[in-house]
Amino acid sequence: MNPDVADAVVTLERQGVLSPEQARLFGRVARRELVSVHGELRFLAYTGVLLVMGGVGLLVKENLERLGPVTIASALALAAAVCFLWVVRHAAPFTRAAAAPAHLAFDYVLLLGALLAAADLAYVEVQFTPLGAAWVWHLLLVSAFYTILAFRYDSRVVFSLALSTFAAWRGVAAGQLGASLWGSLEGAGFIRANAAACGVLFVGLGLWLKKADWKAHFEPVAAHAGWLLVLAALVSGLGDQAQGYGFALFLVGAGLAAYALWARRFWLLAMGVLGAYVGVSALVLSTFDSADVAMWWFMITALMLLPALFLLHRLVKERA
Amino acid sequence: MSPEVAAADRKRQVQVAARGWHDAGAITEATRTQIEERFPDDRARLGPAFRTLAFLFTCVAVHSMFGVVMPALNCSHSLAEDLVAPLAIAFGVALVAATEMFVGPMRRADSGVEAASAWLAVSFLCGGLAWMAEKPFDSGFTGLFLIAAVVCAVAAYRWGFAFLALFAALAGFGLLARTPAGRLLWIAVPLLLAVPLLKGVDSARLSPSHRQCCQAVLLVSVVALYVAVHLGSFDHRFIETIVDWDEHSTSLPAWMRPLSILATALFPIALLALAVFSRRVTMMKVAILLGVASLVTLRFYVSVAPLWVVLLAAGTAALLVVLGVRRALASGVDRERGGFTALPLFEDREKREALEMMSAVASLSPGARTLPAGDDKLTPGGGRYGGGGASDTY
Repeated sequence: MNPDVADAVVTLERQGVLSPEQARLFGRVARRELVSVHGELRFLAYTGVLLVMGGVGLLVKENLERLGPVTIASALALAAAVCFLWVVRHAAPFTRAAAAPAHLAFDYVLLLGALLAAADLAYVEVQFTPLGAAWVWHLLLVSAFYTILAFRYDSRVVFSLALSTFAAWRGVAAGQLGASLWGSLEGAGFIRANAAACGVLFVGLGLWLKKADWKAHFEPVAAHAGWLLVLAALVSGLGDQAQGYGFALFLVGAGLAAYALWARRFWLLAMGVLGAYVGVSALVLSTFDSADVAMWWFMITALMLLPALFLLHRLVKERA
Repeated sequence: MSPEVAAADRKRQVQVAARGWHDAGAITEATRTQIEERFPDDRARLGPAFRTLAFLFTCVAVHSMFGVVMPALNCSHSLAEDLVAPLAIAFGVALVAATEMFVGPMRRADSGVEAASAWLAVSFLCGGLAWMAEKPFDSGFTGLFLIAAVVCAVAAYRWGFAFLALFAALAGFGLLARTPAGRLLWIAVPLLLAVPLLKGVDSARLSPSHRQCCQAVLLVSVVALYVAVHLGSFDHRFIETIVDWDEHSTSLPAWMRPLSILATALFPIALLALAVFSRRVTMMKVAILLGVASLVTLRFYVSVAPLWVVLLAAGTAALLVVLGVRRALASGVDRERGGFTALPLFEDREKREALEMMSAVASLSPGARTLPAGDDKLTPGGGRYGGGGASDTY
């Protein structure tokens, strides 16, 4: 219940700003006479997907000998097929633009079908090895499969999973980059290069989607994931070579911040500013290896950045 | 909270609602502008990205300032160690003054800076006071809990930050756990607080920020009550170990165990019923989570079926409930039944989708394939499938 909004609705109707129909609807919502459980049902659907996939993992692991590989593979395929049948029945026709949401649970049933199919593919491959030497491509195959589903059924959730699966195919996961920052990851340089390459690819993909007007609303997903990977790859190198990676991080972060400011992409701006700040801090701190200098550096620069942020916000006005 | 801040807070609520109506296409841009003119917001607010940066940089600035001052006063030296607590308290007092200035004359709200300074003020005050109190009294964590509960509650009352109310409630329950009748108090206090808090959440007399504070305390109280009656917490003496970390053998009356079993099973159902009856959606989410916790507990104690069967059945049931409820609501007059609808009413779709995507990627992404360093010739093996607890290698 929001008594302030409820009172305001009455006032606005009296002043003629809202029509009686609008006031009736808004008033009912503010007084909690009409309550949407949309978010709660989606939350429950997400919980359902998590539970089912947890169960599938255990089913495969614990029942291999008892049920046999054919039964398990068939059961997974059947479950995925049921999900896809439901999806096909409820899907809106394909459009290159954003489609109106078909059903509250649509994204999650699609996601469950996709995950079950991917789990089935991996299981079949391990048991019957149909891919043989091409097994290394299986995560790429899964990523492509997710991408097709995401585009056909206009699901940004599945698209984000397609991108993370592609990164996984290139050996990249968020935890690894963190480990590499503290120097505890073997082959960190190679993974870092892969992460940066994936990031650049995602950013490029996003730009192309926007330019070609093909699911242009997927672009923010690709751009944010891409820049996050590029910046994380550079940050992860600070532990190895603070000067070089610090300088690169500063340049990339500053460039991203400048672009984001121009394009009024505020979360990208935040990422760019943080990246540039971490980069330049790494440069300074690696030059003057002293805790006192570090404290003074962070105090002065952070205090300088605060008014700069407020000034910048006056210019570009992000919606509060 | 000053009347000006409360008034601005109320107007802000109307502006946010109007934005939701506009984004959902229920009103025109012109109408939204008219509403904003009639309910003007005089606070200087930042958008979420700028706000996050401002919060971070304020924290960095204050912590490093503390780091600069401490060695200057030689606080790390054993003779000067006693200076750390007064210094922290001095920082806390200065930050209280700064927060007052931000929310008062400078008219800052939702800018990150005032939230950071409030948070840091509370942290420094609690840290300093607890340090000072710990030496003479040696109270374990009792002193810290008491100080944190009082300081956070006063700060939440003064500035209206819900996260401070949340910490106050957590510290308050920590303090109650330190008493001899800890478990009993964890049951009694939430029951006593329930009605006033439920009234507070809807009260027109309270400012929106204070209503959110009531909501935060209510949520902590509900979870505390569940923990107090939960069978696992009863058997493992969870609350009693807050008094003494090594103490797992405190005896509790045997008659409490059957009641605990009953309560573990019925509490989420009762909470869900209450949430539906009183139309509180946040409480519904909590009830769902507690329901999952009770199911896990049931499986832990009674092997009704193998875990994979329980998970599959629960997951499928959850999805079927979603489909069923959605269908039932959509088939009603105006797509609503009993005042509930499955339509997204004036919600921020972008924000919701961003959260959903992050959750999906975090919990359902496959594990990274193992690549041989320096060799881009792909070799078989490695890689995992699944997620959400299903990740595994074959």
